[in-house]
Amino acid sequence: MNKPIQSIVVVGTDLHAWTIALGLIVELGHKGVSIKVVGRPQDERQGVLSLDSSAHSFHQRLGLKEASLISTMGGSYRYGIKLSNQSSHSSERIFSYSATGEMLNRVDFHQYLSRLNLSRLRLLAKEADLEQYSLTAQAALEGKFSHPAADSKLAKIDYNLQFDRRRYLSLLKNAAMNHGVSLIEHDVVAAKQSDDGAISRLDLTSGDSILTDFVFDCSGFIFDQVLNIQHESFADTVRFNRCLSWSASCGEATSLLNGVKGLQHGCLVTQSLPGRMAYTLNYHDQQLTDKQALEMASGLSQDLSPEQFEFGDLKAHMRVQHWVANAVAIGSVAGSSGNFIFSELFHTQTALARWLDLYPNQEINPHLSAQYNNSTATEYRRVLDVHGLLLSIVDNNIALPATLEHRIQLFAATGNVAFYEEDVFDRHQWVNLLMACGIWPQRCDVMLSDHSAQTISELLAAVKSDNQALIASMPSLDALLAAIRQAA
Amino acid sequence: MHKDKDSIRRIAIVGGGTAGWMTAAALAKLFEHSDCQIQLIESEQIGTVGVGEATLPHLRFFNQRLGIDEPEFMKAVNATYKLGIEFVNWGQLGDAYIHPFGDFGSPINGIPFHQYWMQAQQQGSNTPIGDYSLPVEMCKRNKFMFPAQDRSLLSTYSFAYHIDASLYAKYLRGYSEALGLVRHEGKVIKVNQNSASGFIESLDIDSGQNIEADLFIDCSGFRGLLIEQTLETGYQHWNHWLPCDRAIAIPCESTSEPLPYTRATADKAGWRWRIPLQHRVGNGHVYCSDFISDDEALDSLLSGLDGKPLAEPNFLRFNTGRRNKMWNKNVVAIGLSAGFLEPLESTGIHLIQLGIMKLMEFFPNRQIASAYTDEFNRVMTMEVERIKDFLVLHYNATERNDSEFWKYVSNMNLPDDLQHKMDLFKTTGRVVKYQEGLFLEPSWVAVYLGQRVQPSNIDARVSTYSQAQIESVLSRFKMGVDAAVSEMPSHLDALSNVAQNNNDGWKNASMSLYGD
Ligand SMILES: Cc1cc2nc3c(=O)[nH]c(=O)nc-3n(C[C@H](O)[C@H](O)[C@H](O)COP(=O)(O)OP(=O)(O)OC[C@H]3O[C@@H](n4cnc5c(N)ncnc54)[C@H](O)[C@@H]3O)c2cc1C
Repeated sequence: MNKPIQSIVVVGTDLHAWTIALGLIVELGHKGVSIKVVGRPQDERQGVLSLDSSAHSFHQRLGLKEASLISTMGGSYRYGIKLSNQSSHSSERIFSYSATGEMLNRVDFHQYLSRLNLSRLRLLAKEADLEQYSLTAQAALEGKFSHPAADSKLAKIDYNLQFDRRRYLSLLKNAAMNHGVSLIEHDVVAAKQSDDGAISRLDLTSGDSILTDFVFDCSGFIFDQVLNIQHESFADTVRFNRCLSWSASCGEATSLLNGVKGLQHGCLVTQSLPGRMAYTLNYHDQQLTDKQALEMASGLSQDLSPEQFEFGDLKAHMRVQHWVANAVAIGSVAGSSGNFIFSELFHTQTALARWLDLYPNQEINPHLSAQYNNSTATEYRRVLDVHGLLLSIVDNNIALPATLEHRIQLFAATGNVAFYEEDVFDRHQWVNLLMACGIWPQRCDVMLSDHSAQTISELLAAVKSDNQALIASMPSLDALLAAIRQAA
Repeated sequence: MHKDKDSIRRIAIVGGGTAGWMTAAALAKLFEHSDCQIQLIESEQIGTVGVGEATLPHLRFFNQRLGIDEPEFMKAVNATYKLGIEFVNWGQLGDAYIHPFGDFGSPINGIPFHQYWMQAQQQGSNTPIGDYSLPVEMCKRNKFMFPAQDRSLLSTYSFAYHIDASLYAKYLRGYSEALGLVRHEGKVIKVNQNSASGFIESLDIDSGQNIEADLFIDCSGFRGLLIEQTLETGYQHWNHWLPCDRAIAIPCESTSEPLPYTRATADKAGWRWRIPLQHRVGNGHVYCSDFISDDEALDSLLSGLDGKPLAEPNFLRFNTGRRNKMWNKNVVAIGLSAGFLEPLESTGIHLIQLGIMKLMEFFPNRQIASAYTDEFNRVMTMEVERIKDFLVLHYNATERNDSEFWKYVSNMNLPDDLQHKMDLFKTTGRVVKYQEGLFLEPSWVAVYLGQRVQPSNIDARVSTYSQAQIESVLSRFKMGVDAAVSEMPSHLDALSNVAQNNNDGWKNASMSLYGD
């Protein structure tokens, strides 16, 4: 009998678990579906949570207003990432989420820059960088922020949000519980499967059992110990296996740019919130011991005591299946390629939307899970492409996935972007990242071969001065954040 | 002026059918202000395939980019407007549905409209899903109006044209020659290759001329003079999934007002097309020679004509499939030389256009780095494979078993991807979604539901809505469609006003089938 789902259990109590629980209760609670979160509460990792494009629709779906999130949680906005490498200062570049320049005469803006660059043999280094013409990259450097505004030159601004990780978690948790999610503070010790493989009952440390129609596993218990689902490793591309996080107060203006800096042995990610800077040092324990990592970190933030630093594991992988019978893996249980541009929460938010799109009945339908597994695995690979490209500037020994290699070759040869199904970046974001990573087309669009360098220079100069005028009219980020907090 | 020494300076196009002249026009425009020389060789003695009259909305984008005047184009090719295709006798004898250039309803609370419609059907409603589509209603009432450019209901569709393809090729010839393209009449009798690289260097024509070029575009039709006969690129045959291998085409007099849609009527061993132009009707029968003789196929075609035949029947043979690579060395195959999919969804000219646009996007220099060819082949292969799946769906999703042909196609093994798509729809009513590709969710919904594929389950989130709630939403939408279509002019009126049309048809031209 194909009955509708009546009860769902989320195993685990981390950020991913509460994201799923809140999403489910908002979407399904009024249809009489009960949602339970099961597990002993653990301390959530400290630090800053950089949300991605998926967060805008996620918040909208849950009815969470951006301004109130910003004000209640001291959050901030992000326009992009500053990429740099310890070994070469000239390689410092900005990747921004928004499109750079506009298409002119149906030719992408970056092609004009390539055209000029090719004709003048790399111009003056700074003139040539795409970021010089990016409204948001330049605004970020001046600490100015504006939301996109319809029917204006600001219409194409893309931005993302960031929050204190623990505060964001507690907001999700409170919202979920207010909507009717129940929390059972005991770990799962055993699961009973019915004949079709579905998990029908979970036994808890308390001795109690709960019945369920569907399970989201954010703890690893179900996927590792009950279903035994293998992993596909991404460690050839993301070669770090440890991370050290800390945060320190900071008197500088809040930055609209996170940072990714290549170090001799590792990579330092920085994230900014008002009055505070969070750091994550990613490394491989064969290249850097925890002790050495701690020494490096203490050197960067000298006022902190050792207990303010937090070590963690980084396992770059994905499950070979993400939906098995009536269980779905979520969060780091499902996979990760680090939190370099896309966070693990990105996958959790898209997983929720994807699962709701395929919302099943109680009966196990292999076609639904096949569809889910296919698009989920593809999405992990697409994020791996993005992170692989970013990390290739930090470590030139990494193995690039074939799709990334093709993207790089195509862009270098033609200035075009190869688009793959389930891509997590828009084309313009690929252009921005490829160029920020120093990959320059060796050719420009044939339409431009007849344009003189003079014409193109004038055109580019006009873009720059337009941007300057727009930036002058934008408020400073800190002033805007203060105004939002005050209005709340 | 910057000129790359590696730039391609000479392009030779072999073939002057629709593919050859569309390519010629696009490249002539692209290189309008450059010294790149474009030449086209065609042979009147060989002639063209002489069919291909139903197009897709994307053609408007192509014409617009060429800077063609729409009224002039419509007049030159005797065009009528097209809002979709009516499929008759596909699910069962007596069935009819329209696959429109537009969506059915619009999603409600993030759940696709057809899920609500299916729930309503389970609760006893028998309103066809087409009643919730503006272009379907327009087809049924023989109306036409350009889509609006706002976000209203009137913007939720797109349109294409029925054209006389030989007149279109002629029109584009004039356009290309005016931009400086050089045409050579003659037959290519020898292809000269570089002995080391295998790249083609020149072509000998029976007139005695030798044409050299850096890049060759093979638009020589089914024979694939360069891509296959010279480079032996290889071909993937799909006749086990799309078994029709012959066609007969014949124009006839029109006896009624032109309809704004193509009709595809399933027959005993294939299907017949009917394409209304301004001055005549184009007809054809696509069939499988294993199941029906040429004579029988011709009889069936002639018996279904509206009016008197206007020409002798044109008999054609084809091999459904695709070239292993559509770009090999310095040869790009565009048109029938690249592969063939039967014209059930009017995809031939569209694939020509796509090939041209991708060639322009990945226009190489003389070395032709594999980055260009690999990407071109990857993207084109994906497009063609996805169209193939969609065409196979039309044959397999049927309850017909009244002939050996229909028994075969309804029981054949399917491509894996299509099998998964159908399994998912049959068990859940969900359409496998993708971002790239020609036919997206509205098209799959049209064919599944039009051909009686009844899912065993629908989205469980919809089942919690009461009958009254769903009925009220559906009937409101239907009333909106009814009211909008009632206000529209007839297709004939729209055609007679073409001269006043100020390129309005180009206004929201895009590379989408559905007008978004
Ligand atoms: C039955 C049928 C119905 C169709 N209906 C539609 C439809 O409704 N909509 C749609 O979009 N598409 C349709 N198509 C597809 C469409 O007809 C073709 O895509 C289109 O006509 C392009 O053909 P072509 O230019 O590639 O080839 P052809 O028209 O065959 O042209 C080949 C050219 O190459 C030249 N040539 C060949 N060999 C030599 C040589 N040795 N030397 C010099 N020149 C040479 C010929 O002279 C000719 O000019 C249909 C196809 C068929 C078969």
